[in-house]
Amino acid sequence: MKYWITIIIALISPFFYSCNDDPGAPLYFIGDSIVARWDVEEYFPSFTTYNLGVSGAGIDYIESLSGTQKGHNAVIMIGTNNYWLYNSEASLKNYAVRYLDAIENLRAEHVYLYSVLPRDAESDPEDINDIIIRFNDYIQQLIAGNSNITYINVYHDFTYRNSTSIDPELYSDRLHLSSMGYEKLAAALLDVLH
Amino acid sequence: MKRILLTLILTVITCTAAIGQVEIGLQNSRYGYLGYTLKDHWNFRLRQSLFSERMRYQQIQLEAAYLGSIGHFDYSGGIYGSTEWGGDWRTGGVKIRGQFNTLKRLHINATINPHYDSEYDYTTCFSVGAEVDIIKSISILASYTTIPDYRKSEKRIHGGASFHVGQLSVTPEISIPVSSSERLKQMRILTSFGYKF
Repeated sequence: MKYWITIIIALISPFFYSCNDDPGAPLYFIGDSIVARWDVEEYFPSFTTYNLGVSGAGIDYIESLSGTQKGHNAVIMIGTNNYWLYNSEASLKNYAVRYLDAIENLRAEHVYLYSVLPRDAESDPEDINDIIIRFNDYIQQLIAGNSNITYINVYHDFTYRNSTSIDPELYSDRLHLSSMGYEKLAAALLDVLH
Repeated sequence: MKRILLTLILTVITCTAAIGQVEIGLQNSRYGYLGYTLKDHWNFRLRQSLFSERMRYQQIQLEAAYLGSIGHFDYSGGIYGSTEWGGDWRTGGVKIRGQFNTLKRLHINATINPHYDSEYDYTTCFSVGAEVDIIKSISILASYTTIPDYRKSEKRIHGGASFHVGQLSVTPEISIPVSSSERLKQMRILTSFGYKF
């Protein structure tokens, strides 16, 4: 009997290993400098992780990765470097379509998509976080019902006092994250992965 | 060079320990400190953050406090100031603490902490708590506090234990937010220890 149980386990185990719900399934982190600076190995020790973040990256970077994520679980955070491409009602709609096309063209098995985070860098326009809120809301509406994308809206976890003020302890320079900011980001992803 | 530096540090610790007490330790898992107590009353502490960040984003803090007691009442009052190494933000404040030791094993304490952070602005923080000695070397602690664990003032409950063995004390605690709906997710485990020479 033991012999048969062992054989059955040996036969079915590869299916479980290849399943994307497996906490050990590799995660491909794609995005801008916020991703590039993220020590994903430290924050996700039980996962195999690959950091494909590039400082200064925008939507054209995601477009350049078209087709490269076939069968992968992709974790994406992108958009903060392109805020000027979606700062009006008309440009928002065009950019959102381009944004989602680029993400879908990655051909990932599953996408974990972070919202764009609030920011308050010295050269930022005053209404930048209003622009980001509108963008996040619009993207969330567009992907509602898309079972291939899990949207992780962490925007409000990074604000303090009101919806447009960043929480300083989560940022190292009011644009990039501190270690506490990355902890928050990791906790939100682990929440949906588990 | 390393040998000279080590010798210098050991000499300073030995000499200063002769006229006062030197302490090294870890506070709230993320700050290392070097303390010096002069004539049992004056305490000075240099605290450095140990975040997994570049040095520019680390924090250094200096504290000076006076410790005293009147009968069963212990008190301390001090000031502190800190800065990020890169200079983008600063904090400063006053901390006044009192502890009643009227019962043999129970200690009631309270702290008031007017605190300023250049990014979070001014907050009046406080904590009230109790400590029960289980045996001579182990105490149980609990407190309600708005004093920042790190930088931001939050309403939190701390609970833990304190172990004392010789000159070493170790205090593991959990810190749970009061107002958040996601208490478990935002719970922190804080470890502190100190060793006196």
